[in-house]
Amino acid sequence: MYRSAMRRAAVLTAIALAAAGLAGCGSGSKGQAQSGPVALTWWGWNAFDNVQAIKEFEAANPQIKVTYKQYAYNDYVTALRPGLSSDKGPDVFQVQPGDLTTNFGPLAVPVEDHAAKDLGKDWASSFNPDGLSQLQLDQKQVALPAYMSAAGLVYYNKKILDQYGLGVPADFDQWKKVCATLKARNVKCLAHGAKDAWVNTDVYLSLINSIAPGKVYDAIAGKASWTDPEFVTAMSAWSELFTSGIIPAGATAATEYPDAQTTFLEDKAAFIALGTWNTPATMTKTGQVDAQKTVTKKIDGLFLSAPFPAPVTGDQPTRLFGGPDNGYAVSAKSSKQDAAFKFLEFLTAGDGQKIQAAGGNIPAITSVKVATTDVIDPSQVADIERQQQSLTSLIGPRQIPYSDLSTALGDALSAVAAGTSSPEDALKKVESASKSVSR
Amino acid sequence: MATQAQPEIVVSTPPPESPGKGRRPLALSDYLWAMPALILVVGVIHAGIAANVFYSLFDWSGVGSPTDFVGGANYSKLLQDPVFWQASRNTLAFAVATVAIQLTLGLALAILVRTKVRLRGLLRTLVFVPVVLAPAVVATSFRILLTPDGGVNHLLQGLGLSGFDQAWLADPKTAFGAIILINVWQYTGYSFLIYDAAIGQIDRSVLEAARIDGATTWQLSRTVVAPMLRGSHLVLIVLGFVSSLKMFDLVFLTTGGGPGTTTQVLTGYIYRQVIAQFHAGYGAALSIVLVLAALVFSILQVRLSTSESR
Repeated sequence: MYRSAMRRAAVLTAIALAAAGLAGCGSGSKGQAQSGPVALTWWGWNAFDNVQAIKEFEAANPQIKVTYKQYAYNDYVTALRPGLSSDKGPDVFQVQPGDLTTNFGPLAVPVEDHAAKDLGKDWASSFNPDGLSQLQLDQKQVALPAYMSAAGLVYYNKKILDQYGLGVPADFDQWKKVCATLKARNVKCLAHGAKDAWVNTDVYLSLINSIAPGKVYDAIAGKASWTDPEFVTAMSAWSELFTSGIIPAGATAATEYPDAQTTFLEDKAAFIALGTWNTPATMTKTGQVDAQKTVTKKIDGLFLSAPFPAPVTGDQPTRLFGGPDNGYAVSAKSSKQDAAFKFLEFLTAGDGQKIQAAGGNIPAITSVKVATTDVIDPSQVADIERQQQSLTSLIGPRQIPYSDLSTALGDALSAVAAGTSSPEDALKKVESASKSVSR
Repeated sequence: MATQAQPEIVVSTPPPESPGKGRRPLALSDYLWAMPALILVVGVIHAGIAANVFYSLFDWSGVGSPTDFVGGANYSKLLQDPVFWQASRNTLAFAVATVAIQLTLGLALAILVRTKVRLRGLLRTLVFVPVVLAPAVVATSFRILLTPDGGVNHLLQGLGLSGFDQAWLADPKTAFGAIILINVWQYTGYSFLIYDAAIGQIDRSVLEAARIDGATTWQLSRTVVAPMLRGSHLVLIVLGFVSSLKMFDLVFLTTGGGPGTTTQVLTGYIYRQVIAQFHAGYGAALSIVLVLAALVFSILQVRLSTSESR
């Protein structure tokens, strides 16, 4: 009898545990009829002022409820793969030009038909053309831009420069002198997180776009060699940033966020090489409230931006390069695509653009001007307006659309920064990676 | 010398088997007891490995379904991939260095607490505390301590050793060594714990006999204690190598595999291929190589523990 009871217990326990395990793997209820408001899910890693966006959208569209899910960037990329292949994923999701658009674009609904229906046949003319072109895949518009941004700038702390009677350098020779003075005062010059390949690439693009404007885009397209003399000169200039003391020691183990940005905001460094996306945190009162939460010292610098100094004396500094900072797409798996497109259009062509403008981001809709009423200092108004103007004449994009090539360039820049590779050898590896890319 | 009766070690041994007698045939319910564990192990781990084998045969970004079958191309590609070989060398060097240092220090500390009575409890706690800290906390703390103007360099300056200032994690000459030492700092307590427990199991009369024969502490440690801890050595070596194969968080959070790829390890390279470069098929092939390496150590561990128990 005991044995029989034990056997029954074993059977029941095993079945219960197996059922529990299988239930955990199951897909749950599916296909429930929608009643009441439509519930949308919105995934992203840094959707700007998402709380305000949802508040305004829901007020205008009470029949639609939006839930935003925020991920750290790497987790986002990981979660999005299964998310977009199942009906449990997002209805609206954030993308970036380059890899994300290339890889996730095929899982998005092209926007042309919806945009033409909702915004009019001439819908594309209201967007910054670069904002649209970099979010296309196989001639289809798979996403719409959230806001525009560009790199090729250095932000500087005018309070520090004024304190030591220093000006903003236009080239490396001037910059080295400024840095020597700062070093003597125990202030770092260019805060830089060289552990991050993306910011190294931004700086390298600033250098090569000054030395040979636009040629890097030929190399990215496979029409020029990365071992050409201009690229070697730019890579040598990159090395010089580290060897000359413009970038202080230890940068190759530091991240741009938060390490370098914290150093800059806390008055420990006079410069940082970031793009226009850094304007809200450094030049607007609202943005600086958020930035203040990331540092312990009270932020009291006066921050402005300038072109990244030219590596060769006498050359022009780079023109800005960039495009859409990020954009939004509608998942092809979404069962609520009409509502999802309504939200997408609110974010990218409607009042969502005014939220971006109010926060100091440069809207992708060219008729919406970035707000300058929230600046910390009146001198920043002209700076912000100049940034918005520059975004209409970009020299090219920031992102390299081929992951193997962008990784190879990132590795090369890191190796040269650490002194483990010469500029020539590093660029040979980049060229080798470039040749293996199928374009 | 009178021998003292030792408590008998009771080992449960199965009754002698006789064909057809003493053992009932296994019923379905007996197998069902194992089902929850089987679902977990087979459903998650083994199915995951099988899926990786399948995906490794495709040129696949990890998005959507794999369609571009390439057979063994991913495996032949990794043989010619210099970063794979560098990551493999780094992983092996990391394993050898950390296992050797952690075992030596762990054993030395265990002998120390067994020979020095004062502050023994405090020493045990201090040595073991790092083991229970989250690697993310340890990595972040050391990343701050090891910056050029961080605590370690300040300490060196305070000791009059300014010439030894380094950008420890940023300099390719010191970065990998620094990561090894962080790992040693965190996990020596684990080796210490195993050795401390094992030394406690050694028959005191053996140690006393050696002492009576005039053995010094060094001789006692080297010729009596260390050989008697063979089982502990083997377990720690095998576990140390297996956990080195899995090393990811410490490298990812301190150097990210840089500068360049000088501190890259296999797991970090797999992560980079799959997440940053969208090469899930190639990443799966790299994962299978890692699984095979882990399998070698698993077989080794089973064999060694089997031979130990005989």
